[in-house]
Amino acid sequence: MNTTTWQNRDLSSFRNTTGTDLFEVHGRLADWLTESRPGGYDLYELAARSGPSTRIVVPPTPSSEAEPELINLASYNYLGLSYRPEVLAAAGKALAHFGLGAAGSPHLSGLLQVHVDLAKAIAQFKHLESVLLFPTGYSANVGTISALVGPGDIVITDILAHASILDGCAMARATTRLFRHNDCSSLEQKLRRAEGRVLVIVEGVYSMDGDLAPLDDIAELCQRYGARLMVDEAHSAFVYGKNGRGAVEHFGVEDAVDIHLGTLSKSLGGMGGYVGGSSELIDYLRAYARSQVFSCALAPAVVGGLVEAVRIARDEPQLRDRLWHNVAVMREALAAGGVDVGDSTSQVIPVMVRHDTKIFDITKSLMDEGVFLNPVTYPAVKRNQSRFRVSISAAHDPDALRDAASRIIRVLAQHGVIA
Amino acid sequence: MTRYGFRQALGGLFVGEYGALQSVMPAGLWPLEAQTGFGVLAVTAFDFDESEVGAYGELVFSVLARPWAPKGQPLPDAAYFPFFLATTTEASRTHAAERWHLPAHDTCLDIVLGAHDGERSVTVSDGDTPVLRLTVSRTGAPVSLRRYLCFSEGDGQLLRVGIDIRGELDEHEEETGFLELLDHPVAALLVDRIEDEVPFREHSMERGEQQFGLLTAHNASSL
Repeated sequence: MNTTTWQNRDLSSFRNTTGTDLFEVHGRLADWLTESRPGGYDLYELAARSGPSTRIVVPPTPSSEAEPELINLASYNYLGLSYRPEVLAAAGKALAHFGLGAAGSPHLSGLLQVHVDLAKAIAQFKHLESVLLFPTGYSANVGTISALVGPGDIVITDILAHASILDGCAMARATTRLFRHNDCSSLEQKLRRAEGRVLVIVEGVYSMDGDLAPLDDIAELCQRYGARLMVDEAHSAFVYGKNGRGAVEHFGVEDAVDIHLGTLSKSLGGMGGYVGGSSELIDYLRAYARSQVFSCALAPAVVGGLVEAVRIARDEPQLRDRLWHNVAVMREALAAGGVDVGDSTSQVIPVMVRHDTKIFDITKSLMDEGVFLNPVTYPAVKRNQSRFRVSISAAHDPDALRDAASRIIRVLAQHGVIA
Repeated sequence: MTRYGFRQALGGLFVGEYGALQSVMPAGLWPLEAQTGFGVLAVTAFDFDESEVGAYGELVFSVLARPWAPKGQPLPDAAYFPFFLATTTEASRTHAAERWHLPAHDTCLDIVLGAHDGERSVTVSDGDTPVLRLTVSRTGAPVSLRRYLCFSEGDGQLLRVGIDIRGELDEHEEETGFLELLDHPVAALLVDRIEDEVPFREHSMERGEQQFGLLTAHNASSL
């Protein structure tokens, strides 16, 4: 029977309510958090005591008074660049030279030489005519989409598209249609019915499932129906493709993509977002992408470090080789233990638990076993599709990954997730 | 309280564009925005075996509305605004329209719920003309209670009624179901309002009952 315990609600329960007092729902959420935190929601927003390296120091747990150091399988540091000495030295140099902040919009006083250097470095790396920097990947999507389309235009995007894509579409007030995840027949159905100017937006790698968009087929469809194509490479740029130019290079469709978007916070280990394409496109976005125009430019220390991170990504292709070797090691070890890793083929490997409350107990057990993973549960993923999202880095030691996999397998077995 | 017993019920929740869903709602109600720019459209079917008007089948298209609860009252599990309702009998159509002010279709439809192995389905037709077919999967489930709100319009005002539904509920989001929309005006009500024929959530319930509370005028601003 139903109860009123916290398990019967989730974060989606308090977002859309009506009533007489706008703030009334705050009390309902506060009451729910009071109940849910001891049950597992206390695992979110743990303030780590160290940076996102291959190991991470977290606050004391109920079973440990000390601050435990765990193997970190939760950060997006795919190439391990956030703490590379050369990156930190470059960041320090930029900090010393330019100071803490840019103190202005890039349109006015905030554009510094280091920003120009980074945009140029990314453009050269990605073989793009021009690149524009944004404060975050989120703002890159919101600003780009809302500048490019408007009422009367049509955006067609994957039903699992990132929140920043949907928020950009809403801000643009374009007609937005969704196609079934990675299903080209569903995309074609939408394209066939679309009348007017059409922008198709997909992601290179989908972050919750770690699967790739079939960009070759999608690009072909866009060409056939005269639609523009934008690819968000947040999780695929700098790691996919022989030269790291992303999923578009992997599928050989770089020239068929009109808008190349990505983040600077994942493979490069910094912060920010970028959009690249023709010079005409970038000049247009520089004028009309409001999230860029009306934000302070990126902090120069971060940008200085990112210039060096791009250089390393270019000059050290062995980092990508190491990453994919590590991905294979982890996938093989998990599969040998009977772990369900979904359809992922990327460096994001979902470890399926498929139980929306049990996953919190498993998370705590994993921490006791020395493994740091974040529970991903509803509404971030579908009901009873809860999972851990294992993020592999080139910096991980393969033996440490094998050891972590054996610990994950042991804990999942203890909790009855696998036999 | 008004009680309805049912042998079987099933439904699917579909992603729908916010504006398309809002267009079927009256002033004062808004779709639940599940993610930016998109709400939820529900297709549900019941095979009632006990009611004041005898046994009948029912098909309902609803938009999930922002839930509503006055201060101190528990939030409902969900709030529905039905914008289309069809049944298999004249008496049940009249009952739905007159008792609950639900938007009953002007003719009866054939609504057949089926169960075989791990699948539940509803097939709807209008005489010889097929309308739609919805399938969902089912693995069996314990008895559960869901507390819903249902909004309707009548006598120039918004109305609401609490509906408790209890039965053997199976609810999941495994994308195994499918809604086949055929060439019929009733199916056309859904064509441009759902983004995908695969429901993002499926539910089915067996050996259950609905308890309707009192139908009252809905005036949130005066509370």
